[in-house]
Amino acid sequence: MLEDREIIDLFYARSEQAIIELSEKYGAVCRKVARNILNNEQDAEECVNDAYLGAWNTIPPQRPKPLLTYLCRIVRNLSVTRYHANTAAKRNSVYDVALDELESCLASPVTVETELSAKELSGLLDQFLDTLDQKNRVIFVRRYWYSDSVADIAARLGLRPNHVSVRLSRTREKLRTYLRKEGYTI
Amino acid sequence: MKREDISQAVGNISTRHIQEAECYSAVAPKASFFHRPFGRAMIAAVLALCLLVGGIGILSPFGGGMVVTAYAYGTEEEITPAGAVMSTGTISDSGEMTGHPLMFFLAGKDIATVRFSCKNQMLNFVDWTEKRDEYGNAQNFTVPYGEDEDEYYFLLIDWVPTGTIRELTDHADSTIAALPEELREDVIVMEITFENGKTATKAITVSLLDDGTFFAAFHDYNVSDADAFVDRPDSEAIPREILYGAEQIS
Repeated sequence: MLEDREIIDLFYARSEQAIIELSEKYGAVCRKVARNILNNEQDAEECVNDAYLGAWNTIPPQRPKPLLTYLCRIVRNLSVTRYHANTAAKRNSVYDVALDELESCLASPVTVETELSAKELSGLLDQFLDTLDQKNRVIFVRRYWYSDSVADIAARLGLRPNHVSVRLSRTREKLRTYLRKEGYTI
Repeated sequence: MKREDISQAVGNISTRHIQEAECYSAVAPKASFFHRPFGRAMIAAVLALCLLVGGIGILSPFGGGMVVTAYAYGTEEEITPAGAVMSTGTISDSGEMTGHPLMFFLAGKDIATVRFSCKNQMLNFVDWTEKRDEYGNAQNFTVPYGEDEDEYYFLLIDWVPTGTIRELTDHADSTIAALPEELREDVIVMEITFENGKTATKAITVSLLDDGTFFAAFHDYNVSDADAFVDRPDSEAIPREILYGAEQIS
């Protein structure tokens, strides 16, 4: 399997082999991210293919490092866009459940003055994540960025699902406390 | 904040966090050491040392090395002997509570059981692993901890100042500053028994400050004749069919 640097060189050379190598190396991870959000195999596959096209269109000029995170971000953005556009979608994906958890943690009545913008919240989330120990941080990101199921996270980290749920619950509570301390009413 | 905004905010977190979560894997236990001749020799030497130290330890009246610490739930800050104002809950002069003033868990090694005794107020005990008996509005109870130290994190003790709330709520003219000492001060004694039979006694003392915040400290404790509350019998556990029965009231 090629190194990321070599795959990017193929993109720069405008070789279609770049897509094949990208798919071989990171296709499975990308499909999982898309499936978690969309709960639909066909939609997920299309989003992943669109992400490859997105990579093709942006490399060059970009030389992303790390490549996987760059690609996953494209996949996630495309999948979330499709999810919102697909009004007929039933709320039954892992993404829905994960978003429900966060929504119950963050979305309560606020005044205009104290309401967070998405951009502000991103910055605060980054700061908050830095306050967590590594394991809890990884669990949080796997759950709410990758939209992994609790069972998947537990298997990945060698924990019991119950423990992952408890850790997530505690981390959400800590997030609420953190945002309050930062002066935001949630 | 709208659902879409939350989704967008999470989507835009830093690349380093995303990459860390992708690359992270649980550390596998290292077993190869035990199969090496040098490793075996080392184990034999360590065992011999343990026997020697253990022999001394049995003769010692104190549980040397038996360290137990307490952490506040929510912030996961250690509750130290010096103490600190808890940031997880407050009470007002009208008796209105916010959050949990003192919710904590213990950390340590090889804890067999902990007997909790609360002098003035009430304790709730929640086991998030759902394996142990749980207690509500109890003052004395014993919790089996067991050999899996990872589980200690999930055994939560929630101190509830029921008497203080009632006094402030029922009497409109009462204030925190005017409360009697027993409604402002409390102690939770923890009689800890380790797997090796050694024991230690710790306590969390908690004080209600005039501004409605709570100050807590975790320290060694000697039970004296004056501590009659420790001798009270254990409370009944909440029946498990109520906690985990199929027909729960939602």
